[in-house]
Formats: sequence, C-alpha cells, structure tokens
Amino acid sequence: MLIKLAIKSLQNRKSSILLSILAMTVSIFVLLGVEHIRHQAKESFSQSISGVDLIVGARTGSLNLLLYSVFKIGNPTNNISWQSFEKISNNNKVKWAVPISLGDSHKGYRVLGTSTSYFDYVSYGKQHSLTFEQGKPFNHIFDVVLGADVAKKLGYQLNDKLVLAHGIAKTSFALHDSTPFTVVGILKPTGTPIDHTLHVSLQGIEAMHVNWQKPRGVPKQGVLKALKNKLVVSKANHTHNMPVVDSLSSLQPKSITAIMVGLKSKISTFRLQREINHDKKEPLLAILPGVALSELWQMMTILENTLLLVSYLVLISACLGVSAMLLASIRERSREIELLRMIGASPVFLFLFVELEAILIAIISIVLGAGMLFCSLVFTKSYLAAHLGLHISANILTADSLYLIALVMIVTFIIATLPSISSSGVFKRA
Amino acid sequence: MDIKLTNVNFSYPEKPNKVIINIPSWSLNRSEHTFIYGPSGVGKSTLLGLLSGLLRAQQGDITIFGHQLAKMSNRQRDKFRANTIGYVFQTFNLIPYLDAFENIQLASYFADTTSSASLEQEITALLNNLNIPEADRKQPVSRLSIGQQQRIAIARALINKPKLLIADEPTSSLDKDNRDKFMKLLMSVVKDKDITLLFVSHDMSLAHYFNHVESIQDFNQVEDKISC
Repeated sequence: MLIKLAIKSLQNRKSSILLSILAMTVSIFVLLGVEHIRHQAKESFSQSISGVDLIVGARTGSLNLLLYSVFKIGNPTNNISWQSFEKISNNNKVKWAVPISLGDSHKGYRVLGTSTSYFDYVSYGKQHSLTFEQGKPFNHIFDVVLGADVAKKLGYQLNDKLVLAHGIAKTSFALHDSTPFTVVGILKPTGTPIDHTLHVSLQGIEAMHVNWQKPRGVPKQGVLKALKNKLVVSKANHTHNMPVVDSLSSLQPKSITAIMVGLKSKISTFRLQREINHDKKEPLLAILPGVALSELWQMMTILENTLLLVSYLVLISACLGVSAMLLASIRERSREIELLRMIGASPVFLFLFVELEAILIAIISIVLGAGMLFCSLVFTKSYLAAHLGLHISANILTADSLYLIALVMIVTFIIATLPSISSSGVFKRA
Repeated sequence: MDIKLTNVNFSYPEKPNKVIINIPSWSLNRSEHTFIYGPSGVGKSTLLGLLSGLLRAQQGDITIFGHQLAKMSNRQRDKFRANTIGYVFQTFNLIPYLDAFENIQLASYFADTTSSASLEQEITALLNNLNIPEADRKQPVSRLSIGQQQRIAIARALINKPKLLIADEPTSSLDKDNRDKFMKLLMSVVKDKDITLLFVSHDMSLAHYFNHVESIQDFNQVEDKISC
C-alpha cells in the first residue's frame, strides 16, 4: 500500500519529479561514468603490457626501466650486453626471452628493435596477443612493422619505404637514409604504447648502423646488399641456426636495451629476479611489470581523486535538489498529510512515505543513468578504441559500481530524512 | 456514556498562554447524534483534534468507549483512531490522485484490516449504498464533483466500521441541494449502522436533523474572549 501510494503520488506530480529525476540521472551518469572510466583506464594502463613476467635492463630505477622499455618515455641509462641476454634466455626457468633495442626514431615515433618472437609473446590487456591489421611480421633485415597509430598518423601503407633517424628527436639530421625500410606489417590498435612504435629486427638496427658515420671504404657494404634479400632468422635466441653468410655474425648486436622475459612457472619469478639483480658479471635490474605499473599509477592518484570528488559533489547537489523539491512538495501537501494522519497513518508511515518517494526517484535515476552510460559506452566503444586507444568495456555492473549505487541510495535516504521528518510532523506533536 | 471529558485543558504549544479548550465536564451518549454549533474560532476543530487523539490535552481525561486517550502510546492512538473513529472534513477528505476505491482501501489499510477479498466486496457494497456510479469509482477523485467526493468521504469514513463518526463542517462546500442530499444520506447511514455521530458546524439550519444540539460555548469555558 505504501509503495502504491508513493508511486501514485509521484505520478501525480510528474513535471517537478521529472526534473528531479533528470538532475539525478545526469549526476549518476557522471558518477558512474567517471568511476567506470577511471577503473577501465587504470586497468587498461596496468595492462599496457601483459604476459611478460620480468623486464630486465641496465641497473636503474624500476620506474625508469618501465618508462623506457614499455612506454618509450625517456632514455635508457645504459645498455646491457648480448652475453647477458644469452645467459638469461638459456636459464632453465625461462620459457622465452625477447630482446629489445631502442634509440632510433622515425618522425618522432620510437623504433624498437626486437626479434619476431616479440609478436608471439608480448601481449596487452587481458592477454590479447598482438594481431596484424595488414601484412605479417618482419622477415628481412630492412622490414618494418608499424604500430596502428604510426601507420594512421603518417599515412603509411604496406610496401611503403621509410627512413629511420638516429636519436629520438622529431627532426633529426642524422638520417639513416642509405638504408630505407619497407613496411611489411601494420598492427591492430592496442591502446598501448605499441601503437606508437615501429618494430624492426635487431639485425635491422645493427645493419643501419653498420655503415653509419663510416660511409666510405666499409667492407660490409657488400654484405648489406647481400643481406637485403636474405632471411633473418626469426628467433634471436637461436641465432646459431641462422642460414646466412658468416659475415652476418657481425650483425649480431653487441648490446641491447632491455629484455622481456616469460617464465615457465610464475612461482620462480622472484627467485629469478633476485638472481638477475645479483648478477656478478653485469649490473642488471629485473622488474615485475605489473608491480612497476601500479607504482606508476599511484602518481595519478591526485587527478583520479579530484575527478571522483567532483562527481561526488555533483551527486550530493542532485540529492539536495531532490530533497528541496520534496520539502517544497510537503508544504503544498500539508492537507494531504493531515488527512493521512487523521485516517490513522502513523508518523513512521509518513516518514517512510516521503523516504520512499526519494528512493523511488533515486532508483529510476539509477536505472536511467546506468542505461544511458551503458548505451553511450556501447556506441562510443569502437570510436574510443580507434581514436584514443581507450579500451572500455560496456559492462558497468562491476562490484565497484554496485557499491556506488548502494552509496547513492544511502545518501538519498540520509538527505531525504529532512523532508521526511518534516512530513511526519514529529516536531509538531504536542 | 461513550465519550467523556473531565477537566480538559488545552492550548497550542506556540501560544501556551492562550487557552483554547477548558471543559470541566462533557459527555456524549452511545448512538446519540449530536450537533455542535458555534462561530469559528471557539475551538471546534481543536475539540475534534483532541477527541481523535491528534492533539493531546495538557490536563484532564478524555475517555472514548472506555479507553483513556492519555494512557495510550502514540502508536496505539493512531491505531485506535483508524479503528474506531471515522472522520469527514469540510474539504480535502480524499487523496486527490487516488480513485475512490483506493482511497477507501487506504483507510482500511491503517486499521486492523479484514481479508482483502471481503474488503473489495465491502467497498463495493458501501459505494453502492452511497450511490456512487461505477464509472466514477476508477478515476482519480480530483476529477469528481465536490458532492460526489463528500459521499466517497462518508464511505471512506465508514469502511473500518467506526463506532464514532466525526464530521467537521462537511456540508459547507456544498450547495443547498447537495447539502440536503448529503445530510439525508449521512443520517440514514449513521442510523443504519448504529454509529455515534458528532457533527460540528456553524450552520444552524442543519440542526433539525439531530436529536441533540449543543453550543460549544456552553461547555467550553474559555475565560478571555478569543479574537479571530
């Protein structure tokens, strides 16, 4: 009866209630939206790289290593030797090891030298492996695979030729223009720094540096020519199987920037990490990417909290709006309330009656707000993924948003006590 | 004696010095139909508020059908009011956005209700009895005429089979024709169901319907003159 009365009473005051619902809906949309996107961004960020158990680099800070190896921000402090790479990849706890080499760029985009196993093992998000929009992994020394953004922003197509530059500035005077690369593959968007990266083989990196600054009288000039059509072995850690001429061994990199390591068993992660960190031959640092990523995210807490604070304030103002509307309506409805008292309604009933109206408004708004958010996420999903590299799931019914919804109900209840008490007239009782 | 007041004193908390009700002794007999008249501002509505238990006297005893109102808890008084007292106001007797049926249901909801199956029958019987056309029963009462609304108000007041019916100027918003119809209907229903009726009005022309007529100023001894 109480519910029926509350519903009918709300229906009777459609226009003012509608405005309140609208205000509530917008605020719930904002609150849930901010919370959801915050979570998704955090998740997507902390999954910028996945499937990698350890990242090994020269000894530096863990954030620094993470920044340059995964996000390609800043510069590597030092390189690590090829011997260290071989040692780690031959460790029996290690399932796979992918070398990466940084330092060159193309029109402001970083170039990553690696082996083809990079495309097999490195993944992002919830274990999404890298997939090709067009083409295939690099096969030859002068092949390049483009990240989605690079291809899109610079307008490259398959088989286009491009020249890499030394250093990382957008305009470089040290172009490796004697060794143009051919685009053989373009990756699908991932929403990670991979989108902004050009991938070439380690041998490619070496090759373009071979005759660099030694333009004349370089004995390897002939080798390079020969190499252009030779197959580069895909797995760098099996270089001894390379079916190429002897002189190619000179293309074996002497040093690389970092190693991404996958383990046979996660349990051995910490042991191997300690082993690497205590390596006697070379000062190395191994980090757990997940841990380092969450450390990095900590720095964004202030921004995150500010956003959340703003959305909470929006919610509270909407709740106060509903409360004010109800309070005004109670003045208008004093006779109705008097009548209800006369036919036997207790103050508790009247209190609950007004509370229920507020709660109903909140429920309707939550349903509308969540529905609006869901629809807009569904419709903008592909746009966000393609243009901002944001992968946002449309599933908003997470534990956190349910917690928020419960919070909205509680806040509504608390704020509605004012008009409810005023309607129950407990203060007026003689 | 069904209703008995002894040494009842009341003033509103906002104006504690202005005594509105001061009744040394007053009573009503069972099944009596009493007409109380008096100009506005002499405490008629306050008296009804005291009788219904919505207001509490600062002093004195009010006994209704053997129950002392002062000894009941707030909750008990709300229940008691729902169960034993029917009330018809001058206006605003019904929740405007509910239909006749729902209004009556609501009133029975607050009382100790009978089962819902027989409740529907009872409501239908009551509405038939009071000549409410079927078509008018399922639309919000705010769309009905005042006369119609006042008749539904009687039905609403009677649904819990009250022993006491209090009517507070129920006819003053009706025209003469409707007023006579209303009075006839009310008196016949009250007689039929053997209900004690307390009818308050300033309109002396209604007095001939009643066997017991009193002026409130006769038993409410407020010393200083009340200005209105």
